[in-house]
Formats: sequence, structure tokens, C-alpha cells
Amino acid sequence: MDELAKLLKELPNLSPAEKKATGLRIKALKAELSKTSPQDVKSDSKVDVDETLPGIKPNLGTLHPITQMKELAEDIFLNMGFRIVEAVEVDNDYNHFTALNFPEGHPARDSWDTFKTTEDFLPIAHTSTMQNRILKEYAKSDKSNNLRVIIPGKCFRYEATDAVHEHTFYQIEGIYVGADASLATLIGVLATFVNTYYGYKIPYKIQPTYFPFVEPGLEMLVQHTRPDGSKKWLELIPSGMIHPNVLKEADLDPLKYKGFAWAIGLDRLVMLKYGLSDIREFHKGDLRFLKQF
Amino acid sequence: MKISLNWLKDFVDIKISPSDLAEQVSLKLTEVEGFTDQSQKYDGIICVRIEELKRHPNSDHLWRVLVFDGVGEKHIVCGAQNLAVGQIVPLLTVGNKVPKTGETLKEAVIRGEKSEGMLCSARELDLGEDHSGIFILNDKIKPGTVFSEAFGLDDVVFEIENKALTHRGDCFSHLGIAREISAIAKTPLRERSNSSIRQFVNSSISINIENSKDCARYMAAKVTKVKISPAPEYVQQRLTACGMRPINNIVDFTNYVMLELGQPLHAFDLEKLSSNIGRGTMHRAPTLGVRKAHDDEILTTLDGNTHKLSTDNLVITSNNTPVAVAGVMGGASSEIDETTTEIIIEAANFDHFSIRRSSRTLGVRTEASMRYEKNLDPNLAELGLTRILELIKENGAGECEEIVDEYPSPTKPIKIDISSRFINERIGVEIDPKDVVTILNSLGLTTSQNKKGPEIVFGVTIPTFRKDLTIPEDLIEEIARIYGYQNITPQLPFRTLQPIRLTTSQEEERLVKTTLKELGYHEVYSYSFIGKALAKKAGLDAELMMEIVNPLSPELKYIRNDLFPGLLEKIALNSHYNDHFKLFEVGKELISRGDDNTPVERLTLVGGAYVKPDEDLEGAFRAVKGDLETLFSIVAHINPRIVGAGSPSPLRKLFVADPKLRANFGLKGNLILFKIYLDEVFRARHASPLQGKYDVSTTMPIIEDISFYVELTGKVGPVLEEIKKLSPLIKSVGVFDVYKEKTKKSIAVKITYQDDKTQLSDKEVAPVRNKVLTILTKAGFEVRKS
Repeated sequence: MDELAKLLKELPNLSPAEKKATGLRIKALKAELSKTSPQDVKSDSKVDVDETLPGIKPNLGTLHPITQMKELAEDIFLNMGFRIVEAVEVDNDYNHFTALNFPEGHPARDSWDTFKTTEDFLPIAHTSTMQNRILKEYAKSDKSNNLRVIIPGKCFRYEATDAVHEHTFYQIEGIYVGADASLATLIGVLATFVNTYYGYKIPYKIQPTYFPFVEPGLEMLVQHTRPDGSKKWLELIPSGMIHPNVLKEADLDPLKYKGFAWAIGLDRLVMLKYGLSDIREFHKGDLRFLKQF
Repeated sequence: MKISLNWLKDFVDIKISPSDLAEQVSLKLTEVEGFTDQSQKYDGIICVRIEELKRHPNSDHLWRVLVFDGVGEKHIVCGAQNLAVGQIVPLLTVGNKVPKTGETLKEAVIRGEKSEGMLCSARELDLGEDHSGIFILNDKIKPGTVFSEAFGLDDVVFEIENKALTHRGDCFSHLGIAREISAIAKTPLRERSNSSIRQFVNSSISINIENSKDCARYMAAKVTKVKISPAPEYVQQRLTACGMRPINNIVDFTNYVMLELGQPLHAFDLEKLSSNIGRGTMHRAPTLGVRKAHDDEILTTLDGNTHKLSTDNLVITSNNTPVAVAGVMGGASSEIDETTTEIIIEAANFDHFSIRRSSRTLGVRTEASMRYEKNLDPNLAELGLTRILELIKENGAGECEEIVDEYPSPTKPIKIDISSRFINERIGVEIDPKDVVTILNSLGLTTSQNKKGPEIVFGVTIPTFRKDLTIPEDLIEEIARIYGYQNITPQLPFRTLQPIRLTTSQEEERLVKTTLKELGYHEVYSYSFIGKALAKKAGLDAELMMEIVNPLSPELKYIRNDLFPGLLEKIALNSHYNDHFKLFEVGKELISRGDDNTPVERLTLVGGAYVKPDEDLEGAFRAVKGDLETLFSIVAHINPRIVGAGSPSPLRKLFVADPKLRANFGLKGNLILFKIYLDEVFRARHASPLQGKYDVSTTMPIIEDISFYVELTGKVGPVLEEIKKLSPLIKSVGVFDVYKEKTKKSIAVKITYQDDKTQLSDKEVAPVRNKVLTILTKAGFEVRKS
């Protein structure tokens, strides 16, 4: 305050324009300095309140971390023009394998490690089990628009459970069919997704891989930075151009239509986002874990 | 799959570092999971000579060994019993790692004697499973020689992921990987010069193939004057590097050729094959056959296991007796041993589906079956047979007498046409036609070019070893991956401004979850699989659920038709740490079968509130009921009155868990549970539009409190409902106090009278009020005078 008073005395020495501007600034500063904050009042207060006690928090619940990240991922794709269709939990062999260019007896069926029910239904091992349905529905439509769909789903594989393996996991399938579907647009969509999801340009690379229902088959890896600063490449999104046999099976002429598809491992996405180390926590339901999200 | 760098170098020059090579192969072919530099793995292991062997003074099974390492002497304590003075043995020196375990060896004092290192067994060296004694080396090796050099372990071994190569039978070999590297690194491939073996082809060995669909080609070579001995060191070293155990020269050669070229081979002892013909006819070759096994046939395989065969198994027969499971494993009865002098070497091509079925039904998966499953090239059989005969000849292990080749319809190269436009559209970048040709040629494909207007059409001839290339899209992958996925500029597809939003039910599912969260519920996820025991605890019959044929455990054998068991399990878990909490799960109940027996999935919400044993249960129940009323009014704009205990709708349940259920889950406190079928709620929501009366009334309400006594077991709800319906003037009826005495309870309600248009007076309210009192009295409630 004293300093301001000194400054005020200097004012007459300034040009008229400067005088006005400086005067206004001093006034604003004075107002700011003379404001009292709530803490300043307390000495006067006679109310019997112990402000130093901790606050009483409302009993809010929590959404499962997978739900939270699923909704985030869904919203990113919604913004990119993809609509959402939920996957089934149990499906037949046709949708799960045959329609996806896995002939009976094909060795690739082995690597899916599927469960089977007594009636020969399959608890789905991949959300791709929805592809034939979605593509067929598109084939029946007027096809004036590109096909853009994502399919979140709960999947199951015959796999012993440990800190990094689960027999129950979550995927988000994506399907795009359009004249501009190409490896360039496929990589573009996936890169846009991971960058938006992480909130920065995360380093990624694309490697070849094999699935019977895509040709070519691609795997997107992202560079994960661990808390200690070390870096590791992690396989995140298998994808590829939809195999012509899959299009044909869904009544789409592969000479006229082309598309791409992918499946994001949601569990891994969540584990990376939070730096979780034990995948088994997701299905335990322990509040000591869940309340942190 | 393990791939040796030294072996690759037989076929292609590699100038880049192992880590760069691994990176390149990962980016352009398949993931390289890692590599081991063997010389590093064997760091600190030297060859030493045993100078002196003495019993340990304090032990009757330990030895004090004095060894010479080329410079000086060292004292070692060792427990192995196969040592002798003068032997050359591997010594792991202090401060270095045991190759098998990776543990660092420390200087030790064993029973009072200092040990300056450790003599290693084959297992400790990671060179096999033998741990019965120390690995004895060739005594010509000079003491002090570095072990990895002496044993040729200066190799780098890559671990390559198989999964991405499921369609690439040609890549399960060093030649195949070398061909890829030659394309990736743009270095020429050195293919083996093919010395012809056609001169030996004769027909004195007869082959019967039952069905050429199962066996496209069967080549067999008769080799005589066989001398069984250990294979040359480089063969043993390379097999070891790739994880195979050396056995003897002939068996090792078959494995060597399989790892080098990808063609599985099998050697039969000819004398043993012929034994079932009878004595005296020993040297007459038996008739070989390839057929489906009969259901009652039995075969003991090389691993000593006896299998009951079925028509799912393809077998090789000698005079119609099975002697091998085709493409999977040979039989024990014709195994090569030290006395073998004549052999039949099989180089065949079996159908990949047949082999897969056969291997799966037997539960036996071998290096051979794994390769056959990938659909091998029948022309590879000849290459493989040529190579092994070359190895046998080079090493003086025998002489080829004759060859039979049953190949009814030879596989020929196919041709695929692909246009530059097709390539550019699918990859999404313009690729120079010259680059297209270079890439395809580098992979061993030949090309011709035709101009068709502005486009170039490439006629691509596919060699038979690339059976995976059948359609133009397959060539897109070849071009794109070698061109480099990292060289493709990412682009976003075009789209219109047409907005996209969640469907109504998706929006509402989210709203349900968010509302519950705000109401203090924690969301849990449960497995869709449950076991009999858990179902029973929850009062359910697992037999009525879909059953998994191959469950991971009995606890995961059925697919839930009810979400309660999972929720109850989680409530039980958390009740150990909390005395008041609320959980919910949204999931699917597999409730019934559709017309074609297809499962029908129903989106369901279950929730539960756990309270301490001494907490007021009615209050807790009313709190949960209030949660649901709030949920329904927010999500569905449904009049909350329709929710409640004893609600007529079976679709919504809210109840207090009975003591038995609580006991089953070991719950000490009380539990209020609810279940709601969300599709029903969503449907209700659709029927009720958002339009309503939002105007705030300007009249003043008349508010009156009435309290009355009710028997302890009395139910007040229906009476209050009746009062609400009494007159349009009654705006609301709320309970604001419940007080329980010994024999009765006192209920206090607040009744609000209001007309939106005109101001009410006491006079107008009086008759309604009287009716209210009448209803209360009629219900047996004792109205208290205020």
C-alpha cells in the first residue's frame, strides 16, 4: 500500500495519456490488495465452528475403470462418425469362424482358444463375430453412406489366469467400408484414435500379422512409457483390410466394396492408462481397488 | 521358432546387427520376440583339463578337482561321478552366469573347501536335459579355450513368433526366413544348387496311396551301407541352437533338413520294416502305403507312447501294418539304432487338414506336424530328399540305391493378375511400378507387365512354395509390407457432416450407470461363467444354464442366467472390510433359447446394499427404494410409485435377502437386493414423452401433518396410495417420521393440498381431510390428536 502511495505521487510527472493508464492500473491494484479473503474474517467470527476438522464427503459411487475407458473410446469413435452396436456374448460357429474365412479344420482356429457349449455355441473369443451380421445389414441397405460401426463386447478365451492373462476380456471392434478404405486410411483412423485416447502423439508402429479374415493383416504397437521412464512396444490393435471372402459371405461384391476392421483390447488400454499391473482385479469387485477410479 | 544367424548366412549376406535385423523382420514379416547372443550366454566358461581328482575330506560323494585353465590351476569342488584325470570339461568361472538359469556364480566354500568355479552339466549349459554328469568335451581341445568357440556357440539365435506365419508354411525354415531377409534387405538369395536325384528314380519300392487328397506326393529313398554315428559337429551345434536334441547322424540329418528347408523327413529302419514279411525275405523291400487308420489299430510311437488309432489318423504302413502316424511321428518298431544298415527315407506331402485332425485327436504336436499343418509345397519334398541324400553322401553315412516318387498330379505355379490401380487404391499411396516389380521379384515371384490404358497390369507367377498367395489381395500384403507400412502416409477417410449419437438405449444405459454412481453405488464386473456350487449358494440350479464343454475349472462351467451370484460373491468379499456399501452390475443374463435354440441375452441390472446387523433395516430398505425411485424418475421419467416391494411386475424386484441366502454367503449384516431388466425400462421410457407440466403454480399449498398409530406389522403404503387417489386437491402425501414403540409404531405423514388455479381455503379442504381420516380409521390406524 505504501508503495502504491509513493507511485501515486509520481503521477503528475507523466504525460496525460500515461497518467490515465497508470492511474487506472494503480486503482485496480489497490482494489485487489484491499480485498479480504474468507480466511481473514475468522478472527472476528463468534460462530462455534471448527474449520480445521476434515470435510464430510458425499457418498459417491464409482464406475468400473473398464466402463470409463470404454465410454471414452466410444466417444472418440462417435466423434469420428462411427455408430455403436453391442456384441453378443454367445454365438454360433458360423458367425464366429465360418463367415470370417476360417474353413472347418483351419489351423488358425486353434489360436483362438475358444470355449464351447454342449450345444456347440461359442462364448465369443473375438468381437469380429459381429462382422458378418453388420456387413449383411449394410449389404441390404442402400449403401449411400460409408459403413462405420464400432462393436464393444465381452470376450472369452481358454487361457489360464495370471497377472497379465484373463479368460474374460473386452474388445472394441471397428468396421469401415467405403470407397476410400485403404491401408493409409486404416492407419489414419487407428493413429487418430490412439493419439486422441492418450491425449498426445504417442509413438506407434505397424507390423504385419495374420488373421484369416483380413488381407493384409496389420498389428499396431504403441510405445508405452513405464513410470520409471523406460519404454516398451506393446501390441495394441490388430487390424487389416477385410478379406474378400468375408465381404462375399456377407453379400458384398469385393470388386465393388472394400473396407477395414480392427479390434482394440480394452483391458490393455485401461491397464496402460492407469499403469495397472494385475488384470485379475477387474473381475474381483474389491472396493479397495474400485474406489480409486 | 528358433532361427540361427549363422545358418541364415548360408543363404543370404547379413551385414546389419542382430537387433537391426530383428527390428526389420518384425516390421516386415513377423514379430521377433528376442534373440540370444550365444557367446554372451556362455561368457566366462572356459575349457579346462582335469589334473588331479581327490575325495573331499569331509564328504564321501564330493570331489576336490584340480584343473588347468591354460594359465594356472584352480581348485573346484564337484559332486559329479563321471570325472577322470585328463578329461577336458567346461568350467564356469566365478562372477559369471549359469547359461540355463541366468544365476550368477559366487565363490563358494563347500564343506570347508574353497571352490573357484563350477564344472557344468549339459543341462546347466542349456544344451540338453542331461544332468547325470559333467559335459565331457573333446580331449583335443586346448585348456583355456573359450567354451563358446570350442563348441561353435558363437551364433545368434532369434526367437520368431509363429502365429503371424500360420499361412506361411514356407517360412518355417532357414531358407524361408533367408528369402524374406533377402527381400527386406535387398540382398540376393543364394539358393542351393540342386544336384538331381532323378537318376535314382526307380519303381522297385512300391507305394500305395489310398487317397491322393490326403497325400499329394510320397517320395522314398532306399539308402544302404548306412553307418550310424554322431552327426558332424556343425549339424549338432545348429540343431542344439534351434532347440533340437542331437541323436545320431541319420536322425539329425532329417531334422537338419527340416529346419533348413522346411520339409519334414522320416527315416525308417528297412530291416525292421521288412521284419513282418518273415525270415529269408529280409532284403526284399516291403510295400509302403498311406491310408486312414482303422478304428482298432494300435501304434507305439517313437516317444514310447502307445496310441489307439482311428480313421482320423493318417498312417504309413508297411505291408499294410501301421509303422508311423503320417506327418506326426514315426513308430517305435522301425526306429533307427546303432545296428541299422539300411534305411528308407520318407519325403512326403500330406494334406494340412488331415495332419491337423490326426495330431489333435492324438494330442501329439511335433515339429513335423506343425509344418504340415501349414500346407506345404509338394515340390519341397524333392528338395528335401535331395538335400539329405547330399548330407548322407558328404558324410559317408550311406549310399542311395533307389528312389520312388509317387506324385500323381504335380503342383504347378499359378498366375495372378493385378493392376497398378488396384494396388494404389488399396494401399492408399502411389507406388512406382518399378518398385512393385522389384518387391515381387525379390520374394521369388516373377512378373510380366501389360499396359491397359493408363493402368499397368502385372501378371504375377506364384512359385509353388507360396501356397498362401491365391488372390490379388494377397499380393497387396506382399507389396505393402516390403514397401514398408511406415512409408504409408496415414490419412483420414472422408465423411459427411451427418452427426452420430448413441442410440436411446445406449444413452440410457449410460444414464443408469451414472445415476447409480451418483447415488453411491460402485460398479462391479463379474465373470459370465459360474460353477454349480456358487449357483446353489444363490439358490439357483446350474443344470438349467448353458454348459461349457471345456471349462477352465468347475467354477467356470456354466454361463450365468442370473447376475445375482456374481454380485453376492462380491458383496461377501467386501463385507469383510466395510459395514455399509452399495454395489451394482449391468450385464447380460442368458435367459432362454430362441427359435433355433440360439441363446437370448437380456440386459440386466442387479444391485445390492449391505448394512451392518444393528442398522435399522426398514430405514435401509427405504433408502434403496428411494434410490430406485430416483433412478426411475431420472432415467425413464416413470412415476416412481410403480416401483416397490411386492410390485406386480416380475421385471423389477426389490427385496431383503433372507437369512438363508445371507448365511450361504457368510454375511453378518443385512442385505437389500434389486434386479431390473433394462430393456423393459428403456421401453417404458420410449412410451413416455418428456412433455409435461413444468409451470410453477402461483397458489399457496395447505400443508397438514397427521400422525397415527399402526400395528408393528401393519403396511402403510397401500393406504397412502389410496389417499393420494382420493382427490385431485391432494398434491402429495409424504412420510416424514416412523417411530417404533414396543407394541405399535407411530407414523407421521405430511399431506399437501393445492389447486393450481385457485387458492384453497380450509373450508374447501375440510371434506377431503375428513375422507382421509375415514380411510385411516377404516384401515385400523389410530389417528393421534394433534
